[in-house]
Amino acid sequence: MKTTNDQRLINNHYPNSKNELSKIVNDLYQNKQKMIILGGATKTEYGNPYSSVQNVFTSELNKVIDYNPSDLTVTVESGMKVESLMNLLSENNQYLGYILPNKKLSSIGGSTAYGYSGNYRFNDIHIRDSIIGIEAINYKGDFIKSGGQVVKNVSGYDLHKLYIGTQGIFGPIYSISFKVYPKPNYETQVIVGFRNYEDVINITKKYLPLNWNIPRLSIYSSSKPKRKLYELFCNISGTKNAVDYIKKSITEDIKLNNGNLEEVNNDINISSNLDDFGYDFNEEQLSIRILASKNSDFQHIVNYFEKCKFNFQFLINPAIGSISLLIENNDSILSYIDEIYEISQLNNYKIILDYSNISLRNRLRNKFKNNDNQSILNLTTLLKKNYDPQNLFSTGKIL
Amino acid sequence: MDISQSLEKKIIDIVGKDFVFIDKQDMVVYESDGTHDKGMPDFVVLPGTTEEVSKLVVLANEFEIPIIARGSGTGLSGGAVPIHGGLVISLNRMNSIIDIDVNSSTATVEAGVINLEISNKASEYGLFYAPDPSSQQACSIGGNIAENSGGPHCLAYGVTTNHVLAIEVVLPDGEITWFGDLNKEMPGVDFRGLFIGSEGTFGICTKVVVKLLQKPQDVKTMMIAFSSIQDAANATTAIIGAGIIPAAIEMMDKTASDAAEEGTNAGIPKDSDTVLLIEIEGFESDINDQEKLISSVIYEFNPIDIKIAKNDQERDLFWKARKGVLGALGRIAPNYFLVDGTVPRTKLSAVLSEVSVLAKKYNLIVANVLHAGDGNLHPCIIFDQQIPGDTEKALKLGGDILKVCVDNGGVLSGEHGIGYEKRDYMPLLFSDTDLNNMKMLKNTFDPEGLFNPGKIFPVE
Repeated sequence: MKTTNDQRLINNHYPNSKNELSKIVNDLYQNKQKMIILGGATKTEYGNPYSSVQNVFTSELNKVIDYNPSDLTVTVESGMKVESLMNLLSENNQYLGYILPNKKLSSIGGSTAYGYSGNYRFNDIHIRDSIIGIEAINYKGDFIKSGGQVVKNVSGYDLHKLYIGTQGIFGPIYSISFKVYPKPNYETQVIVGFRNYEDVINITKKYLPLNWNIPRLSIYSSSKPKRKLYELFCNISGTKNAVDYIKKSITEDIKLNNGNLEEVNNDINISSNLDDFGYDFNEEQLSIRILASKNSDFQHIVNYFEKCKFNFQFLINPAIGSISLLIENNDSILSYIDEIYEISQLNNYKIILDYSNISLRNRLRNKFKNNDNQSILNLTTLLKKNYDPQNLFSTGKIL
Repeated sequence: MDISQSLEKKIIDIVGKDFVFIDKQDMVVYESDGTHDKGMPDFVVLPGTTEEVSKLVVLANEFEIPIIARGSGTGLSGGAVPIHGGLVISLNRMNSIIDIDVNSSTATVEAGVINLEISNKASEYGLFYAPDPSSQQACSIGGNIAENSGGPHCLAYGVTTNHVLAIEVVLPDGEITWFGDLNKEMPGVDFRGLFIGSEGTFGICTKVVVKLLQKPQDVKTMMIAFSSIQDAANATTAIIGAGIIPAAIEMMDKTASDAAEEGTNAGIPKDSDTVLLIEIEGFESDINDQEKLISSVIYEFNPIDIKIAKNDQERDLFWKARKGVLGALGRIAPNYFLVDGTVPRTKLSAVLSEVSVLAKKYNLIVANVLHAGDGNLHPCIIFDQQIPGDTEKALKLGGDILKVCVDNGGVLSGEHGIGYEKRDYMPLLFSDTDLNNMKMLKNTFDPEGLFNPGKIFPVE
């Protein structure tokens, strides 16, 4: 561990083993140092790393701990980059079942702590479903094991669920075990343009309840010249017969709903710029995500989008019930935010601020407070007190 | 008026006297679940609403008596057994299917609804609820929540937690709240996920919103007989390893399949040692491809017979044999102890060999029934509790089998929970630190420790 001569702890730490991570956390905690655990450090926007707290980087904890492809499970250290894990699985014709965004920069641990699984999902899988075990470190530096490397497990409490989507407030994750899936034999991506939103939403409303293997059914507000305003990105996967069957059905429905087939891609390893929507942005943009429930049409927000002359982009994933917005940080941004906030309140949507520069984040902080019920807040506060009695892990997050 | 009478009067005030049992003969069916464990409750109450449950919880707090929530009592870990007495809150009266929302493919039901009834009702809309425990004709969705239940088709679809979006719960202080949301991406602590599988130790679930799935266009069910359990286990591993995930891969060894065949005449060949039941689902155009792929894999493992269900009746018969096998084992001896370990799929063959060696060592019959595709073993240790020493021997063998599972990278329970029965095996899997951190979670929800005491954690 790096320390200065007077033994005051320096700001950045790069543990390269499980035991070193444990020692750093224990030492920092004993010295009452606030700490942030950083994976790819992609969530710190333009103030990276933090200067006021101890930054514990997991980037050197990037090894595969256990992977037997025939078991369809894998365990890795939390600092491993998402892309490295995807490549490893791909070599064995397997995948996580979803594509975590920002895969080149994000770490597995960071993605777990953030709890967002992107807009491509096989079988409606979420990172909360696919993590089967976690080894974490508590405030004393002790290792805590929860779950395991088997796909069915009700042995004790699912303590690992504490660490998914909670942004590190209960302490660092050392390793994560995933349930993985065989890659489908075939995959086709169809991109269809629509002039009217009603037409495209008709298609999604028909196909979403069918639980056919359509891992991506997203609506994108296209800004490309000579393209229709609304683009439906539809990935179909499975055996060749299944893919052909679904594709034929969708193609017929496209015609009935005034759609225009723009692209067909039959590459099994299709990558899409939609995977990083809301992540591939510049300092003058704001990225937010609004959550409703499956099959939500977000009609009110689309109406607003048309009303304000398409001054932002959106990506709707009706299978999840989310809309991501990428808004230019111009003079109108606060009025956009006010209107979107109001629509969200009226429809009981929840808003998540994904990315912004720090000054904008500070201005908008109170806009993004969602109203959790009091019991949830009380229980979360109690958990925080029990698992982090001095409030040193990711202070200020979630609560 | 003593404390007991005072409590009784207050309970009757909440639910009415018709829904309170205090006589031992009325409460005897509530002293156990599907295991041999027993504990007599002090009171059994059948509330009709969440508000009544809440009032009962407040009352139990006032009198500092244990609270044990109970569904249909089909559990197989002693989870609903009131080992310290107390107030059993039976949720059987809360059995309404409140709503089926076809647009969002969800059902909202009360906790006492029987698992299969959800699918029966949803089938009117071409939908079904995927988790299908073998006891699905009797077990309640609230019990499924408590144990995070599985079932044969969880291989493709996942277990209870993967299909429950939100739950209404009564917390240990009597407060009523909802955990979860119709969107699984919500930031913050996943209290829904923490609560599911917590075996009634965090509170009482009273309502549930579940996901429903569209019924598959076509289903094909294959029954494949092998001449050895190792061939069947290796065939299972090879199917999964080849990247094929059928809807279900179930296994029965000779003892189990002979008993099942005797009870059902499902057509299991007499000369087979082990059978696999494999179900595939999908489009009509797709399903034959899947069948060919599976057949090409299993031919490497010398199958002696392959039957494909010709129609729904034959398919139902195959499943009747599998799902009724535990009852059929009663033909061999009156009692069984069902082990529930899960191991990595590639360890199935090795673990089954060790189970066989242990059964010989203890001189007890073990019938192996497996959700093989998930690596979830159910060795059924068959014994007669009237024979002195047999129960103890069976329990000891069960412990040794669990140790084998853990030594092979597995866990103590795949779908039945730890409950009372397996609590003392927890240190096989978890360190003191792990257990203390789990206790901290328990204390966060239930600081007084009144909810289902004596479960999950080993006695100190």
